[in-house]
Amino acid sequence: MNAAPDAPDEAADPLRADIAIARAAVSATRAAPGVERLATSVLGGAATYGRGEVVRGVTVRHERGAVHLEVHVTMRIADAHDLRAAAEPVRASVRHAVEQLTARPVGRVDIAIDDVVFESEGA
Amino acid sequence: MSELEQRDTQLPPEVEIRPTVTREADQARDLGRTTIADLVVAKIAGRATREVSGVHEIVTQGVGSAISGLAQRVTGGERSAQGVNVDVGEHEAAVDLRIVVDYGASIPQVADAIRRNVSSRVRAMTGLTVKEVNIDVVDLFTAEETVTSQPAVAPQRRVE
Repeated sequence: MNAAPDAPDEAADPLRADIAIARAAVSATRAAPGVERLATSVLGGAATYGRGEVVRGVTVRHERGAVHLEVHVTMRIADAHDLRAAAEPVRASVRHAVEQLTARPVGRVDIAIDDVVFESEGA
Repeated sequence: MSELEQRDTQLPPEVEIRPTVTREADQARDLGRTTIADLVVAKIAGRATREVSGVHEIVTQGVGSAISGLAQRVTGGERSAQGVNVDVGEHEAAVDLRIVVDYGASIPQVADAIRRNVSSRVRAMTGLTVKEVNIDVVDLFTAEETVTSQPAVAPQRRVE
């Protein structure tokens, strides 16, 4: 029990840990400026699976001792604005939220812009 | 077996296998990368096209893209990208459009304006260089056509 002091929760139940990370990433994404919604595809899109629970639009993977995330978003953007720049606050927000949760540095946070909504279009 | 081994040993020594350095790894270190879906590029191009005066509409392409259009609808794609085909590479994109031009507009000028607007929008929003914008003008729109093609009287009464 005391053998893994760095990550007792994850060692105990990795599925629950991943779901918790994915949920934190989802709320952080929703709260980030410029995000219209998580891009969720019902048909086999990116998702994190836990015990009887699915969080869509986010995948969590562990590599070389760090947590890496991939977040799929639909961005809301004005014409001629830079999408790559718009993705940076999302990345920062997700990183911050997950680091708060796990108390460890997060590896890569990949942002996949799957769709866009233009600001002048209605919702 | 022995053949394979021989092949391996016969690799010229000057051939050096280097890991490919990707643009994403370059630009963002280990913080993560940003990917932009083809649908997004198509939407931006479609919108930039519709903004040009003289463009009446973008028409959906042939059977092949009708199928892909269906797939797009099923998977959550949206209308604004329909009729726009894009090929997106790592740094460049090619855009194919089929359009109907308003009668009276200069087709070369409309085409030129589309190319400029599509290139600048796609570049500004995605960072991709638009290598080519292929425009297929499939029809002209004349105001009279609406009158003749949309009769006010119900046309169903072929037989009684």
